[in-house]
Amino acid sequence: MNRMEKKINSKISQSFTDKIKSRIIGLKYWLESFVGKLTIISLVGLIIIPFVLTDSLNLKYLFIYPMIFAIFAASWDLLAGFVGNVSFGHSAFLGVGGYLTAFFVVNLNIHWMIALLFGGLFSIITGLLIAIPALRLKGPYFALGTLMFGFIMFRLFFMGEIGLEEIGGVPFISEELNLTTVYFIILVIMVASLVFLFVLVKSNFGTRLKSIRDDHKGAKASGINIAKYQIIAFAISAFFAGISGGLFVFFNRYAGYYAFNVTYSFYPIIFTAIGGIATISGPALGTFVFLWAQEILIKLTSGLPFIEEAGLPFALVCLSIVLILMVRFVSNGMLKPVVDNLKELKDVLLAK
Amino acid sequence: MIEILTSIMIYGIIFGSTYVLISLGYTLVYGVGKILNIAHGAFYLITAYIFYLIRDELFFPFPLAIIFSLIITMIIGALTHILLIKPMHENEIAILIVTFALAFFIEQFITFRWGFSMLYFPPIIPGSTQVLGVSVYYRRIFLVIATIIIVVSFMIFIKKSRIGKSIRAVSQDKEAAMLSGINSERIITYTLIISGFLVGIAAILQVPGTSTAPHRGWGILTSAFAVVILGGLGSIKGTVIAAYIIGISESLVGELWEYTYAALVPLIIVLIVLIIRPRGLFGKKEVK
Repeated sequence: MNRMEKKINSKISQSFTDKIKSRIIGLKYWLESFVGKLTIISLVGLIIIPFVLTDSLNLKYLFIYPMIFAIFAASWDLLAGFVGNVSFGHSAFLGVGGYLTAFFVVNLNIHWMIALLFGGLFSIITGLLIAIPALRLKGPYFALGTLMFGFIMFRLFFMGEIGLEEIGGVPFISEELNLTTVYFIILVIMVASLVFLFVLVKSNFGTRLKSIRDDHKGAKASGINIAKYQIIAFAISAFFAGISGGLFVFFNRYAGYYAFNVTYSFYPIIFTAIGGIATISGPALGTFVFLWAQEILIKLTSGLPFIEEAGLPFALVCLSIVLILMVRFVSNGMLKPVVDNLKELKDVLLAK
Repeated sequence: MIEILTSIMIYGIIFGSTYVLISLGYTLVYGVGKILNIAHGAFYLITAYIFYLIRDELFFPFPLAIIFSLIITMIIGALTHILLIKPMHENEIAILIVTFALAFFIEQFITFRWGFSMLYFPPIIPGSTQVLGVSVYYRRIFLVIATIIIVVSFMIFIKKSRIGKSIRAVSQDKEAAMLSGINSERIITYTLIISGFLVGIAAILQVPGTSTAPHRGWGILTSAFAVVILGGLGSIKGTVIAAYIIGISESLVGELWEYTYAALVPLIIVLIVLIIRPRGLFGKKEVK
């Protein structure tokens, strides 16, 4: 009896250590691969940035803002890319997470970390409330159904007496921390969220989600509880969207109707169209590309004499044309082609 | 009591008529081509703003402005199908995203040209009158009459004309229609042109006399979607009935309670419909 138990135990521990070992080897291979190196380089770059870039405004708008939206876009990609549920109502989660985080921090004086988590949890509850009716719909209907939810949440602010009130005086994470610390906090949250999502979609869970996306009937036939997995994916996506909403409200130092603005539902779609769907890292990269291009265009056009309404509207007109062309001609996004080309370039350079 | 009832009915019919015009083209495009056009609200906006450009900035007479703005919207509708939707090869999600990109472009273009704040459009027909003791603007009476004329002629067009028959054939079976010599893709282009025309008419009848802003396009899209979901996607009869149901329930809430809450009515109706009967009142049962 004892021997038997020992045998089983050693077997389990062996398989466990094997698993860990294989994971470490996999990680090592990934680090040695081209994509892994690129990731490490960009991560190191993000760590160095706050010491190099002294202008706080640039740091805020070129790095902190895109980092917040990178989480948001990646959470959307989990749902759209891996489950195939294209949500047009993600602004609801951004708004709920953001508004409640601000409410907890300002009105109830709770520590920001707990407030952020609570924001995420309430976002999950909203997600479940939305998911259960919306998952009855498929494909485009699902998209439009979630769009309606986004509108309802937005409308809650314009309900007069029974509507929500705006919250001002939200601290940027915490009043005692300086901008560099805040930068690192947000960087850690972003990296943790992206790594979590990345590991999630590579795991068995992610494979099941992909099987649901590719073939509903096939997934059902192989014993996968479609509804359960879809709802879990919805909740995870809502949680991260809520976290990014909380950070977004911290960033703006103010929570109001704008956090529920339906336009934010479309941001992850744009970012994903640029970066490439079903990649997690693609939308995050697309966020940076789009928001940087926007800032550069604003800077470039603000000095020109022949454009009257310079600044954001003009930048967005240009970018939306690029977006149409991209969706039309490069439907898989630019992450993969760019990485492939970079790799070829590197191979050519090193071969010499 | 009777006064409130009459005003609920009159305003309900007015709201319902705008919903009919907004959603008729939407359901046609979906019913024939299985295309959900996110840029539908943007078509509405661009017609209104081009109308404003021609009449109030270039000072042409208003009939000219109406004709030109409608023609431009119809051209945009045709180009949308030929350049953006057709190359997507019926990939529904890609169509959704590409038409969204178009809507985003139109919204940003309008913001760039006219600013993002509310813009007041002077009315075509000023003044108001009393109908059964309720004060109603002339333009709204005209809207209701025009809606009836348009719906009736649209029904006749679909039933009797050659294009209408082809449209019905394609909506029933695209491949069979192609086998019997109908150019299905061209027919779908026609439906987008008609859809642009109808939503353009809605814009011209509704916007002058009120204010609008670029972000309103999404509201128009949601109204169209609400009506079409309630009536059943692809059902023209359902759309007309659903439009009046939503219009009257909106005026009911508005008159008895407050008009700020009335904006939530279509959304809540859609939610209930989606939960209880996803295919709508008159929708075909989904074939699995």
